[in-house]
Amino acid sequence: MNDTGPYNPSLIHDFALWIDSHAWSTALHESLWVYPLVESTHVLTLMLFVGMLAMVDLRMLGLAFRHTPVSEMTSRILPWSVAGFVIMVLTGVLLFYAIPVRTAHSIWFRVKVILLIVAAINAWWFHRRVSRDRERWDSQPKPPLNVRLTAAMSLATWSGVIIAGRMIAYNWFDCDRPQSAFVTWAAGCAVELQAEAG
Amino acid sequence: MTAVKRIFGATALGALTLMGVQASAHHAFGAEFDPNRPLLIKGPVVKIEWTNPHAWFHVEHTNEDGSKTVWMMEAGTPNTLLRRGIHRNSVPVGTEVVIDGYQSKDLSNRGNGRNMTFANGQTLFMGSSGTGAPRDGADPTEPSRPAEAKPADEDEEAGD
Repeated sequence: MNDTGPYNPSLIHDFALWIDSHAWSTALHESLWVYPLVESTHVLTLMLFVGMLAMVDLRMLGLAFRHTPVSEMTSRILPWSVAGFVIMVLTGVLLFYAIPVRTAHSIWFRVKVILLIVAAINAWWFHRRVSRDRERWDSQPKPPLNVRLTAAMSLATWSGVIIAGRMIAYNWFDCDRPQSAFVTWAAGCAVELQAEAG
Repeated sequence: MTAVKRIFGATALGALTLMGVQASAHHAFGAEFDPNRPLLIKGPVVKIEWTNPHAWFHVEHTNEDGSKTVWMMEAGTPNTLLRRGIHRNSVPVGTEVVIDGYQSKDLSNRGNGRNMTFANGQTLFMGSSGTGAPRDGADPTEPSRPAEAKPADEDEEAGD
């Protein structure tokens, strides 16, 4: 299969193989305590991060804490959220580092990465544009539409990230099982199976 | 005093959360394995993957017609197996074992292991608890149920 489409699956595959060749990757994959601790910490800190973020989003949607200024919510809640975010990202990277090849070829992981990019663009857009005139709507019980839209987008994308992330555990769309042409393409299975056969 | 209460509350919440996490560290049995396709795999261990989140035992089973098939049997986490008394060098390649379990839904040569029995008669529960696997008595932490219990019951257990 020479036509690789809009992305180059063998590049991703080679990167995953390179990580897989690290002794520390194998050690983490086979560890007795560290892997479960990293996995649990990832889940706990994502609850801290998304949980706190959801409160701010619900406030901006005009659904919760309607009489608390948004700036007060963010100044009190966001530091917790940032702490959760940092540990969540670090443990997430470690989880990928432990099982790079299967994860890189997981369609759920790929959906998750796309959603993470959408969430990042949404956050950038919020800080760049939407929050510029915050003084105007800071104390409004129901902020203007563009604020509510970014908040809804944030809730939707992070919910999607969590769901897709959870699904990585399941093997329904793994490359070592017969898959539809779409999954074979989207997960880059051809490259993985080719490499295994060769 | 409120600080003490708050800390206590946070600890209790944390403990509850950890219990939830522990349950969700295993995927649900019903998503990948078929409780109506029991397996009995006998033969030498040819390979062990001592990996998270599940270890895999590859066992070469001799079929009725004399041909050989290597089955991949899923076990618990390396940590779970350690706590039950085996580590990565406990079952060397070539060890004769009998593993009972359930075949995967895609009918590949893969299954969810329940009990692993050694030549000396010792039995090890190799699976995971709280995944919704049939209550066949293999899991010592789970009360077993009479065989006539309706199979539909198994789905409600999905531990995550």
